[in-house]
Amino acid sequence: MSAFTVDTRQLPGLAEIVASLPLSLRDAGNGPPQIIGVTGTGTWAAQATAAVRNGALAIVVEAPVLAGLKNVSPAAQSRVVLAWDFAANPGVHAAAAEAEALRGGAGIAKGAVTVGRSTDIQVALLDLLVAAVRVFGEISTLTVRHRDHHGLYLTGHLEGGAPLTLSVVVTNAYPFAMHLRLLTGEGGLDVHVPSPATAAPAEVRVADADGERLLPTVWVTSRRACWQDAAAVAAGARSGDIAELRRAVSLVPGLWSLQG
Amino acid sequence: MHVGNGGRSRRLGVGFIGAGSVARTVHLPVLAKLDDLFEVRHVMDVLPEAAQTVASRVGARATLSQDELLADSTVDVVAICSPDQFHAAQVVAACRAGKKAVLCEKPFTLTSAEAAEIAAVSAETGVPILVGAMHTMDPGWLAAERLWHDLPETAHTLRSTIILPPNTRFIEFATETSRQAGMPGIDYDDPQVVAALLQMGVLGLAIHDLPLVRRFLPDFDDLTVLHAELVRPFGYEFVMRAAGRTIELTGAMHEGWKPDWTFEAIGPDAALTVRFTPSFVQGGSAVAEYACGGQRTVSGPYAANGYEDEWRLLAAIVAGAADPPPVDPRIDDIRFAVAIAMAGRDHLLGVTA
Ligand SMILES: NC(=O)c1ccc[n+]([C@@H]2O[C@H](COP(=O)([O-])OP(=O)(O)OC[C@H]3O[C@@H](n4cnc5c(N)ncnc54)[C@H](O)[C@@H]3O)[C@@H](O)[C@H]2O)c1
Repeated sequence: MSAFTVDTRQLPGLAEIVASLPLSLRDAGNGPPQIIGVTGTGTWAAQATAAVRNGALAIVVEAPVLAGLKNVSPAAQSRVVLAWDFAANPGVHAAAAEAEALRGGAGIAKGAVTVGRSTDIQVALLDLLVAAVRVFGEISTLTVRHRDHHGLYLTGHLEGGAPLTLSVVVTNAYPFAMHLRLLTGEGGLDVHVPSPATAAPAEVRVADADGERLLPTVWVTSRRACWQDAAAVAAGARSGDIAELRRAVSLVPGLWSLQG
Repeated sequence: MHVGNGGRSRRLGVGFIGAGSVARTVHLPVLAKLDDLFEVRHVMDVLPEAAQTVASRVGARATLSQDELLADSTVDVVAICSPDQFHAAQVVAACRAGKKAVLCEKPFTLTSAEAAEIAAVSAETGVPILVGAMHTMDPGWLAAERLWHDLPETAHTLRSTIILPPNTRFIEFATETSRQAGMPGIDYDDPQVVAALLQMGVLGLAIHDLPLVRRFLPDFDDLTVLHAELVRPFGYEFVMRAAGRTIELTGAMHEGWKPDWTFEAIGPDAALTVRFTPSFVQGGSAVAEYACGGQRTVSGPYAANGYEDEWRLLAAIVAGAADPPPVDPRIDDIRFAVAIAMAGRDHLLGVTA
């Protein structure tokens, strides 16, 4: 597989990522890029749809807002990789694989992100919802219990009936992080995903009667992992990210109106 | 804090009312360590075997009569370690008996009316009362107080997480609640049983850290339970609002070995995390971590914990080396706990205020 071309000027910091993935990506120079990067502001869906129409093989959307999700064209759907700060961390995928066997015995589940004051709370919530769907599987409709500029609390249930609480809390006290927890009769699963600014690994711990296992750690930012995924999509893999986001969004009726 | 021992003969005589697991596993080891300050002299329990077992371990007298223990002039301080529902009357009796001090296991009482009565009796008799809310006396918590600057005014989110291995007492209690409702096991389909378990979760487990939560609330007159749910097999999940703060209480007892007992207060620019040891653990305090602007300050662990320091404080109060803590905040703690328990129950049963 030859490396796919990227316009490294499209997004800040992209040149560094492309340079660090020489087998998958290379700078497009003045030629047309095969993989497009867009920021997830209001027009991302239209941009992604247009890019695919113009021949792009994959699109990476960074921190997407909800607006426009409905308008992603069917052709673009499977080519869009959503670069979530937390949910896209490889540790979340590793946790999801472990969680499958644990969900049935869950007593309670939690998801919490802490983000800084400059972060869009809605984007952080979407990120958390996607991570929750990945790790916790089927989730009931969620109810927004509280929402203000300091954060947001939602509650619902896992498929097996265990209570689920999701929260976004805004603070500049410490670096951003996400924490997911699935508590079972014997132990459970703990997932710590660090700030997207660092390649420090997510830590996924699985506890049972024999002790606790730390899954192998991967030192990579979620952003770099997404650009790797985008190269796979460009090579023919189908991305399920849009479908997954739609599912996550459907869990919170009225989320469309929570915008802003 | 250290109080001069003044010789073993000047030790304070301790009388236990209730000689069950907390007396045996928490207080006896602490008092064995503090044998320059205290000597257990009298043990009362309604079960002769319980009183005998504990008394014989420490060479104290055993009795089935509370009056006899309270009339014993060698008993200077009374430790109340009976089941919750007896605490209030026993604290009052110990005060009226003119003891030098009373240590009452948590929960102090089960209603705010009882708490107010105790406060009145304590004021009238001048007998200091210490509530065994060990986390408020944990050196790790006291270190947090020194670290947290204006966080009590600025915190917008408070979280208490108490995840513990099973405590047979809770499980038995839970089973009994169901049995009263005519069920052989715990009937999670019966809303009354579920509501009773939820209340028990608040008054039995969450109550440990509600005094800590209250430090970050100017008041709780507008307390609103936004969500309350029972966690199986035993536990609770609350999302609440009070005084402009969001409060999340999580409690879970499970069959596993891994505990997590954490209190968090989060503000716009600073946050506090205090990690406690599981209950019944001797030796070693909580660890406090204060984060602000990307910098973290960690305090602890210290050698002693709240179980030990509550007894040291008691000795200091009796010796006149420390002021007795005011009782009013402890009454408010009970009011707070009862308000949460009742609102949680109403929330579960769909009762609207
Ligand atoms: N601080 C903590 O960490 C902690 C931990 C557990 C329990 N507690 C508290 O300690 C108290 C006792 O709990 P426990 O776990 O030891 O319970 P337990 O059931 O093991 O012991 C209670 C003892 O009190 C006796 N008793 C019953 N009625 C009595 C009465 N009217 N007068 C005197 N004794 C009576 C019982 O026979 C039993 O021996 C409870 O209030 C509980 O909430 C505190």
